[in-house]
Amino acid sequence: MTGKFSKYLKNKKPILKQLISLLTQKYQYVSILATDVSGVRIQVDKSTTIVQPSAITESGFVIKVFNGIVYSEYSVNEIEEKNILAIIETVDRLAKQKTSVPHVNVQQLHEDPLTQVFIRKNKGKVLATDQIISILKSYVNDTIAFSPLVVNANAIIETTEISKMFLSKDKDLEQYYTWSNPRSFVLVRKDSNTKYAYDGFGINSIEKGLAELQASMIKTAKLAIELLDSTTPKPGIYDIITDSSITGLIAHEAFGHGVEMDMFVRQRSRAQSYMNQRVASPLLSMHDGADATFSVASYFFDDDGVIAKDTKIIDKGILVSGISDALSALQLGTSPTGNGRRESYKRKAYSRMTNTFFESGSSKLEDMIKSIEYGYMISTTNNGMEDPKNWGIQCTAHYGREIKNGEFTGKIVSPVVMSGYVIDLLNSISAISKDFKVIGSGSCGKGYKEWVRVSDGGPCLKAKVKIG
Amino acid sequence: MIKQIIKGLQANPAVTDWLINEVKTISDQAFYVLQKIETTRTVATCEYSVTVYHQYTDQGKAYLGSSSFAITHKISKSELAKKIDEAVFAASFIKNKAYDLVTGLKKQSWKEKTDIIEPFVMIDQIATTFFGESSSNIRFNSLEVFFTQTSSHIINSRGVDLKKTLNKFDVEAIPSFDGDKQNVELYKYFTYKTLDFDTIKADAINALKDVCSRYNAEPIKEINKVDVILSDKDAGEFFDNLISDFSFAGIYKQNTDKKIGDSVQKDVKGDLLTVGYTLSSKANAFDNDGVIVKPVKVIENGILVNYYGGNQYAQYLNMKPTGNMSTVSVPKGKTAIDKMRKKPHLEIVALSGIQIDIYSGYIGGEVRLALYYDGKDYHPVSGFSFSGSIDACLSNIVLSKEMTNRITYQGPKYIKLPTMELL
Repeated sequence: MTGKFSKYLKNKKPILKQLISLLTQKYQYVSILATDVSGVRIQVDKSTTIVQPSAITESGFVIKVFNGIVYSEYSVNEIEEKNILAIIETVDRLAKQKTSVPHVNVQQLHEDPLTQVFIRKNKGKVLATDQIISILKSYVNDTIAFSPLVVNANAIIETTEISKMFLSKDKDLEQYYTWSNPRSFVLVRKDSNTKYAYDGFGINSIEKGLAELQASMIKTAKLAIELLDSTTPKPGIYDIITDSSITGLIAHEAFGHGVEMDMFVRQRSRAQSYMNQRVASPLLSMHDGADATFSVASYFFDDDGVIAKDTKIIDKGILVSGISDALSALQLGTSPTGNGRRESYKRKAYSRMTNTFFESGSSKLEDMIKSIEYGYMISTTNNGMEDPKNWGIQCTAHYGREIKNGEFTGKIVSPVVMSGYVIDLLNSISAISKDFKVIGSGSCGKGYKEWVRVSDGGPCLKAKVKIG
Repeated sequence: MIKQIIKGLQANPAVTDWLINEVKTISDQAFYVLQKIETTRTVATCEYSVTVYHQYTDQGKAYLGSSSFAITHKISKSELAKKIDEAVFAASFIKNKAYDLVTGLKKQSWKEKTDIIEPFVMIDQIATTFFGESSSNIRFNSLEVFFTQTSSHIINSRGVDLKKTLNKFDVEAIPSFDGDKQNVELYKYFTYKTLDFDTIKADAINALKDVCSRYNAEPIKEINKVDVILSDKDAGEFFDNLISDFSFAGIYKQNTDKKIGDSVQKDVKGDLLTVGYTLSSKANAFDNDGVIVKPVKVIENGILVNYYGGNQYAQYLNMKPTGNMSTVSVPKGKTAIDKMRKKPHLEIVALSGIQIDIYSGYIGGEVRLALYYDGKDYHPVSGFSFSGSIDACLSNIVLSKEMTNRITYQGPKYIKLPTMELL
């Protein structure tokens, strides 16, 4: 980690400004997003060690222009004095593409002038690769020694530093920030019964992240061993308590995707017609925003150059706002919320979630558990899927613990696949705990593509769901 | 750039071997909103992944450490030297059991044939084909069309020098139905290696037909158990999950306790399975280590017969690498779909996402659209989930004679799984 904004991007700034100036002579709107994201993923298990670039490593530029009809973007990873004319030619060719399909009625993006530099560094020591390998190896050895049932253990850390620059006629923004994701995965076997467990979290300190991973490894091993006795749940309707991970998954899949306002532009979201109406229990309030809490998606400005915000989506059960990228907000006549995100500079910006969560409530978790006659406490996100137009929902948890007459019975089920109708689920929420945790280790696709890093979470919820 | 990287690697005495993967991507993309064009994009990038190997011995044992880094733009000689130094330093702490890199004797290259000169003209034709099938209230509310050409060039210090160029069109289509009682949509994703506009038109028509069915779909009532028919992508995912642990890496890391010769299916009353991997196209001829890939049968007639995968773990198991491939291959079955459809069943059209956990033996998913056949009539149904046991599926699975040929799956278009629970 360098601990500072990319020197490469700094050096490119004059030529990027020159390019903007040249393109502005032809186009109503011109901007350039420049990215330099680097990181390392170190994975150690009992037999091998892998050191490779972080999955989000990238460096390149998105040149965006508006010719009065359509927006066009050219993604390229080399901009130099000698190819600047070739770049302009490519942009011109792209913007002049003939199409037999009519164009949308869209106006020019307007931006308020802003020049600002944002910096957020890794906290604590930055360890060298050999030091990290040695620490991870010791965790793997300790986890394998923990029980003869442990077949293999993986200790992983991914560290990333992000430099992004957004330039246009009116904007000159730079941001530098860091993030780390420690992860554990443990495989256990008894006779021919094999099970696994995993854990992951996000943190802005390599040193602290590695320290916390040690406990996470043993916790994961204990859970994997417990899961050797797991069964699959009998399909049915159950009262459940969700942990923060599953609460976040529900927030994300139930109303997160549905209020991504590029879905409104495409008439793909039922939420659009429910604005200012009740969609959930009055106990429930929900937020999203890169500035809503501190986690993996806490940037300073988005890939459209819009400053990060905290957007309240649901206020006491009433749907009050969506989240948007700049182009969608322009088409809808609303203000962008700082949610324009790209998988990388090679992809388009869409309205995307950042840090999504339900606000905490006033109930005690132990009282919520006591109130369950028969059901499960559901934990650890596996995956989920949105259905923004028809409000179907599917959320898969890694496991659930059986509760009978307000007590845990010791029985464990895995996996737990919850499904149903979003409104039924959200209206079934009858208690919300005081706890609050946001887990910054996830990724989210839009449909089945466009992966970006997100966090989600909140308190524990009591709800009624279909488990199939 | 490749010459500069090789020079830098050769200048560092601690680098015992190296591998460079150059990837050039050219892509043209168009984004349509409510059947009107909103955004056009072009991508032109060239990136490098460099892996540095450091061979050493410690207490008489041979190790091969490796570390990779990315080069995402032109860098200076000194910046490259620094990256190589850092990588070889990291590699010197990695105690992976020694293995040999893939060796190459001659330069080889493969290129998928394409007659695409102006991708945007083709993108426009694809969009108009989709939109040509729609009406005012049954249409594609969102359509994204991507043409992507990817050229990979792999070179290593042991003579490997391989090139391949692959092309494809991807279409993400959201067919939507705005009706009096409700508005509904489905998610569709198509990949075309070549452009056959009859096929594209049929895909557009079927997508719109499916969304009409979703509009008319009702919840399924009073049916607790039924045979389920999966098709295409869902069938491919089922087989992919089935063999995912039988890679060389999976076996070496003991992800499974199964070994060659073990039975994967028990008490078989349905079809015996033969499942493997194959090349998605002839030009997709090598993997990221430079292994020339070969189709492999992993399961044959219900028995685990081969492991598969890349160079490093194949050598750890004293086996020959097959190369990493991602196209699942299954031979055609014996039963025609018409015969499969004779008894009451549920034919899945769209799921939220198929959920398969091999370790728990769970298969299921939330059904967005299915056709339920009660023995007399078909009924579009939606808004429920199905689940069952993978072991029971494997005992009774039936494969169709009809085949599908997708980038990720070449095999029976339909598979019938017995008595799934519905909720």
